[in-house]
Amino acid sequence: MEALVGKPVTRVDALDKVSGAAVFGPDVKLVGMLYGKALRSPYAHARIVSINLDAVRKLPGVRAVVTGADMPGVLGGEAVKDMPFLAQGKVRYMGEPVAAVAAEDEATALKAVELIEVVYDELPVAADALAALEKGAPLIHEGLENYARISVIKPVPKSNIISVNEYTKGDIEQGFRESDEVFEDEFRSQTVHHAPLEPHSAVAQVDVSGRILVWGPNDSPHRLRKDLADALHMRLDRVRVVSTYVGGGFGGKGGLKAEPIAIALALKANHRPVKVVFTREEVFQATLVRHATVVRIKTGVKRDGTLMAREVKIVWDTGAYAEKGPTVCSQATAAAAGPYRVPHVHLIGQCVYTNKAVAGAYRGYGTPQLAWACDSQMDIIAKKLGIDPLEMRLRNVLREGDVNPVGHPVHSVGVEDCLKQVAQAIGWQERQHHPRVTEKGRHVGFGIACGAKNTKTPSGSEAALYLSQDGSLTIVTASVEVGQGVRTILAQIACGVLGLPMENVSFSQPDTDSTPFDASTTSSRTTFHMGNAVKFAAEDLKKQLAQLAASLFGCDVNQVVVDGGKAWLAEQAERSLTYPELLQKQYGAGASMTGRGFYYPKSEQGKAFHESPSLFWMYAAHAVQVEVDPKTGRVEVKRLAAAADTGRPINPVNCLQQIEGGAVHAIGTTLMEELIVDNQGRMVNPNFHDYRIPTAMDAPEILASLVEAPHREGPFGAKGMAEIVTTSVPPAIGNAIEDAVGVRIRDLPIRSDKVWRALRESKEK
Amino acid sequence: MKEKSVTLRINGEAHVFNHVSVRKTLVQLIRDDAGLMGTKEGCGEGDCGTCTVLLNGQPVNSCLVLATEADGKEVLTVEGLSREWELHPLQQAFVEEGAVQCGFCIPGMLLAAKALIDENPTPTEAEIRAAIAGNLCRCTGYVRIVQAIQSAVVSMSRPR
Amino acid sequence: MLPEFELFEPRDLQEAVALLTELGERARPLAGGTDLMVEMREGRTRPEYLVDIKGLEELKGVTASGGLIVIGALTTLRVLERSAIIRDRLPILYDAVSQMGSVQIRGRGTIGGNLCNAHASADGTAALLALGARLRLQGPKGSREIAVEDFFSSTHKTVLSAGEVLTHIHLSTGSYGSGGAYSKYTVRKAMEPALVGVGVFLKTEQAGAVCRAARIALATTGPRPERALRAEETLRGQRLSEELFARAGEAAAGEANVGSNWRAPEDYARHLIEVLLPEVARRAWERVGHEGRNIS
Repeated sequence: MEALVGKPVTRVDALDKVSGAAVFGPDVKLVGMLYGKALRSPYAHARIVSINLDAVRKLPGVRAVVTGADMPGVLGGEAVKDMPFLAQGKVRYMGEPVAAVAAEDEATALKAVELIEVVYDELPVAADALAALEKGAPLIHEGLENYARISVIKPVPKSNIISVNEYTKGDIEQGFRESDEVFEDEFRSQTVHHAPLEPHSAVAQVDVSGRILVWGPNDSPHRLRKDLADALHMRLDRVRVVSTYVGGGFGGKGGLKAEPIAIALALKANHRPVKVVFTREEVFQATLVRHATVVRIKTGVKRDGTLMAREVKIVWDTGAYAEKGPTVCSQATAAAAGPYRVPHVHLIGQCVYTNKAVAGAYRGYGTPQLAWACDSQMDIIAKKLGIDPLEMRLRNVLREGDVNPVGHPVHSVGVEDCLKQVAQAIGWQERQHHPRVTEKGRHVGFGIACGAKNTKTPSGSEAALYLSQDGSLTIVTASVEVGQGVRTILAQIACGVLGLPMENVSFSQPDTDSTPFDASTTSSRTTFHMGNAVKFAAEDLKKQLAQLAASLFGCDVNQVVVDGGKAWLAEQAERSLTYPELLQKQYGAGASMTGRGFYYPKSEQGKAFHESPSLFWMYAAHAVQVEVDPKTGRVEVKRLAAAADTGRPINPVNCLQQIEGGAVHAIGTTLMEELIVDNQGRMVNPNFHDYRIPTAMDAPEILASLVEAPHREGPFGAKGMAEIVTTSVPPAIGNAIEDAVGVRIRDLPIRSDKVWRALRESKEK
Repeated sequence: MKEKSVTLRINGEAHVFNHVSVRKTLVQLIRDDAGLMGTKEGCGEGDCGTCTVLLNGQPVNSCLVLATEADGKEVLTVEGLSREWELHPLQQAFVEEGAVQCGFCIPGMLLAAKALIDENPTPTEAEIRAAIAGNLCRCTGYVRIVQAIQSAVVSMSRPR
Repeated sequence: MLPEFELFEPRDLQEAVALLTELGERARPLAGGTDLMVEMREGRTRPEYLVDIKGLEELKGVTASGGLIVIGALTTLRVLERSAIIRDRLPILYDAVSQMGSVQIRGRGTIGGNLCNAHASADGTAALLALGARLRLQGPKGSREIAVEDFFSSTHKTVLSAGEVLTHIHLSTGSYGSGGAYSKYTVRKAMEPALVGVGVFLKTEQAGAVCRAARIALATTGPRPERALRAEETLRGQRLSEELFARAGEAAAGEANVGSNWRAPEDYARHLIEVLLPEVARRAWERVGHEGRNIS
């Protein structure tokens, strides 16, 4: 029946993409389209004294000019409504849009923006989170406690702390008292960018009734629609969002990015569409970044390596506006103790505003920064106690039914197998036989790590399936193809249940007018939630087909079998009717059949957004072999073994694609990438020559494997895994470096000069 | 001059564009004037390779070529790789080997690969990686892209 | 989008020189565009005029006759990379250009452009500095030839006067017993300018055992391309050995004009020079060969 589930079916979107036919955000062209361009703040923190639009209004070809003053009371933000579409009253980061122009062509728009005169009154800059926490630090959002917000957000008045989230289990002080040894360490992570190859964009148009239409590469059309409707005080149906293919999201193409500017202009553009495409510099400066973090982790253990107590304190640098920052803080802080059994736990995260680019959802949703701390410290502990790092983890790692660090019993826990698989693939047990130094004098090291990630709970997804009279199927969902292969997965599930071939399937474009509600294409939730919705919709269709067949066969519906594209009376398989035949026989003038499926976790109905324990947890492990050049400190990853717990892989190749891509992505953020911001809040390297993501020559050998720990509520047991595949890479590399040359790096990225300096200092001791 | 007439062949078809501004780049001409959207612009500075096309057979970042320079020349974009409905072996290999995820880097990647194989029909893995070093990909880790190119090398070496 | 400008496409060198002389500071010559167009896009330069010199065929190509190699300034890095003359007779230059940018960039970027942009991190420039290239310049008052190290004046500036165009690079393929190599340190393995690059060109005697003369060029994040004169002095007249190379490395690390910047702290940059130079020197020495073959 589910013959397609678990098969490495070729991706359905590949043909569009190799032909150049796939439409991405910047490819959208509408008749009468204007080009929009933003004027951006040159200061990280300043009051806007005045804006002079006289000259720009006179430039021929300019059709609309807007500033924040045109949108009073408009504040957006999913968790906290703190962000205007264009700056109002003050600017809070360098690059914040202050004004915008729509013109007949790009050249005019660029010229126009230069004619806008803005007078600023500079304010002191809080350029990093620790500075923003100090007494007397400049307040970035005065009255932040007055912003509309969701319930998990807990701001601290008269501060730059937009949220504090805390989790406790047991008695932390007792836990430390009962420990034989206590370890205290601090780890830091840098600001990194998603660096998708496709720049952000949006095309917006307001029709004659005032209804807003937005096209663009947004990962979550229904979520965007709600964000916009809430901010603009409009009914949901008065906003329509259509998502194109997304050329790489990784969390950075959700929420309000280019859309607010395009919409602000469209509202004044006399019903003409306005297109805004960000330059690469704007993508770096003014879309989204990953939270830089300071993590203080204190762990108490027994001499045999059993974890007793873990306290983790995190400062999340959330940049100038909240965006998803507070929910990263609330969700990820709950994952800070790692995939381990720890009886006494205290986790506390502070989400702090700074005068820098907005931080928010980034592949892993905070877990890579936490795993960097937690699983680096695991090795510090293992070394001190004289326990093999793999063994240290196996002694403490969660298993089915265990209670996790935030007090929830866990189900579908594949982390132990992930560890064992990567250990085997990298040759962990044999590593002592491996030469410690290569011919060229490089020092060899092996490292291992594991990680866990939760998913936002609760959330819902609805799907529709249209079965046409010829047996072809249209899958109607708002799940967005961001490169993860969602269309293929949903088709495999639908066709698997209905017994139809994959070639018979088409897809609706995600469109809030016609594709039913989906919370978002984020949080690694789509295979599970939308997969379930599609499965239910397919089962719904099967039920309807069975009823139709029963009425045609003149029997009870329980006697009908529906499978493999056909229906028949039990024991009379030779007298089956195909789906088209069923429809034709009953509805000679033509008909279709609609299957509906809605998935919303039952246990969490009635709970608010982000309020519930994670519906499922995802796990992965990584083991690496590195070579460190002691002369230069250069670290090279030679081999990387990766295993992820998929629950059950709907499409194994699709899962391996995520593991491979995630590994190289994480190598970049561990070794090469950092967004450098000076103490005046200026981003120094907002381009692809100075912000370095791995090239084809930088990718090592990747040994990827899958683990199955079926989830009872997932479609065919599947969970999600597109984010967890990056989480444990940084500590695996850090641990391998320590193994190779005996130095422990505590702040990312692991630049070669840091390794060199640490080596020098350790020699001097 | 501030503008010039540009006559060129794109994917074997003749095009004439009048009054092309000298400040326009080739990628803009291809996308905005010729309406071929397969070629992408990821950075505009020659760092990412998504705008790669073949200009008189040579792989270039079309964001760094003035549109007027293409006058009298031949351009091959991703749309020109397939013949009628038949995919080029590289395109076929990318599909079959699972080399495609978000797809934004793929057009440039295909053309860089084609340029490589045109010049060197039997590249080593190291030569493949060097040939696509200027084509960034954030999704795939390059694993299946390299495999796809290797597979295409084999299929392209067979007589058609 | 590029800022506004007017374009000229001179048909010959004379016309190009005349245009550049007349327009002076308001014009920039456009060769491969891989640097200039990026500068324009980032708003760092806004020339009113671009003089596209890519049509000047007489400035393209590599020729060798006797012990002299002439490279046209408009020769692309890719042509150099694939030139048998360069690979066989000037492998230090092959080392440098083959590591630059990407295939796409090398197909457009020219060796002349690399010199004229006067970035201290330019690999091609460092190799030419180590080779002791001589540059032919053509201007309104005629032509002149200068040594490559005299070509750079201050940060990102050359001595080209108004209307002057770099036309050719002259290299002698060294005498018997010479060898050169170039290598750089970068974070990624491609698409990166040198954090530190070292080019070493050795002239030896006594079957490669003794250094008669050395030229050492550094590519750095500092203000200008430079030679490491004290390091050269360390080698001159000495018996070559690993230990000697190490001392030369120390000397170069000390004299290099580098400071701290976001790319690397100063002490690390100096240290990289110190460890890279001996490796490069050793490769240069190996290319000499013990029989003192005539390769450079």
